[in-house]
Amino acid sequence: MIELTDITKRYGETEILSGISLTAKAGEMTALVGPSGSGKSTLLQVIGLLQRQTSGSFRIDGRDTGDLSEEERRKLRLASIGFIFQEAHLVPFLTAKEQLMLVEREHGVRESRAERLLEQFGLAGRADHLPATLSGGQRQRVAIARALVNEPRLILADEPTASLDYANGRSVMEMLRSEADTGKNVLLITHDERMLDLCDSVFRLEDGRLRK
Amino acid sequence: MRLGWLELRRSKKRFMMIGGVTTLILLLVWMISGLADGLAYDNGSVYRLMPDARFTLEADAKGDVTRSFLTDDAPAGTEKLGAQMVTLETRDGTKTDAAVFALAGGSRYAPKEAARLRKGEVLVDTSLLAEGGAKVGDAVTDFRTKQEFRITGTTPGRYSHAPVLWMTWETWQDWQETIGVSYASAFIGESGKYSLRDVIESVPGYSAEQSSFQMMRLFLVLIGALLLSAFFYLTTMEKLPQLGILKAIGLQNRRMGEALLLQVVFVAAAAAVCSFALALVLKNILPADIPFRLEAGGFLYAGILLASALIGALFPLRLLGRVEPADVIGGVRG
Repeated sequence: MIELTDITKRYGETEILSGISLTAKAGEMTALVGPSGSGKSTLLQVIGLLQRQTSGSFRIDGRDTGDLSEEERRKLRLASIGFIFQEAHLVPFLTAKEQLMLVEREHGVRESRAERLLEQFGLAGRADHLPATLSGGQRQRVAIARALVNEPRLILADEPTASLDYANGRSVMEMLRSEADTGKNVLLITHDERMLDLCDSVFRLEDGRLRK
Repeated sequence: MRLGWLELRRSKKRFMMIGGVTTLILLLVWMISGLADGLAYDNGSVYRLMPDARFTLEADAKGDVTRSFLTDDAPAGTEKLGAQMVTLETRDGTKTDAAVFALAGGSRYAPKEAARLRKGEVLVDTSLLAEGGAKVGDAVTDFRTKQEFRITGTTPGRYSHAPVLWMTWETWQDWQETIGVSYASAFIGESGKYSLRDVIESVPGYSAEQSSFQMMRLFLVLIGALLLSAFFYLTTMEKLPQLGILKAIGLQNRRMGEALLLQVVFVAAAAAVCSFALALVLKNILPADIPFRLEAGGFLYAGILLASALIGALFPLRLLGRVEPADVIGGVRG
């Protein structure tokens, strides 16, 4: 479970997030929607421990993240958070399987589940392909598999379907839905309202303020 | 480390291009150094082939033995050295400049082969045979005095870019008597005002020639170092977004730094080996009349360039700690 209480984020004089309070439970898929510049990505990055809030409290499974050092935040990211970006952002010189194994190795995993996961995502025949030889949809599926390979409790997705057509986008969203159904906490940003039916709750951000 | 190797293996073209540029800049350094060292050697190899010695010269000779005229007896512990530039004429009438050097038979400062020389016999540098069209057994004539010398063998040695002709002190005296003089150019031994280095640097044209090359080499190393460090800096900067993503996923900075270090060291080492191999090939295919030597100094300059490449590549790594994954992920701060 993630709990945000009165989170504020400022860049100099500009307030990007103002008094955000939000709770998302395990097994839920939560969507953040709102116009560009409303602070969605910043909020996602605060939740993903990529940025620190200026004020307010943020807890993951009851653990306050405010006092964590950079190294502790990195370890927590590696162990508990799976990121899916707008672009796949795969490492260009690693095969699909190696993308997953890179994260596993960093985590000290002995028995790789990379192949199994790729198979689950319909990429069994693409395990040894480099990103350049994969389609956009396949790349994004590899990115999702990479985000899930360490079995994180929290999955954060920043417009995961933005670079995909509707069919591929829907397929990605369904994959995320099924991850939520296994007990994971999925938080995503989307501009595509056709996908919102798969979400348990939708929050709207406007000028850094949250409206449900 | 494994990450670094994988990228090296899978992005061959990219690394070959980086390595190729580095190799060419290093090769340029080897070339200039090789030519400078080659000319430096060629200008005074007669001295460089001698055992360590000190020289006494006439006060106003400024270190140049061919400008020195000493008529005193050699002080104890030294011996007389004769040295003079001459124009020689070979049997077919070809004229060529040469430097005559003379020492007593069996002198430890003369080439070993000179111990067998008899009166009127000389040893010459092979370049005299090539340039003058003479061969061992032929006679060469001093154009000015018409004194003849018989070539009985060869021994390496050049002075002021001219081949050296070694003779015994007896032959030298005979030759000088034909023009009514008797002198030594220097006293050579364990004592004396000038060192071997001093007399080498006083060879006519040596300092001017080496100063020019030194300037060329200095600017080349400076420009090359800046170029390579900027080049490697940019290649690292280009990767920062990718490193930002890996950092967001949770990879340690150290792991990314190690991968980058491995790649830079590998490319730099490969470029060093390739450029040196190319320089060796060039050395072998260059015409014999272009002096070219690969000496230790070249390694120093190549080392400076490689160190600057390393610094250039690793300098941005300190930025890695400050890379904000947020800055490289699409749609940030939106």
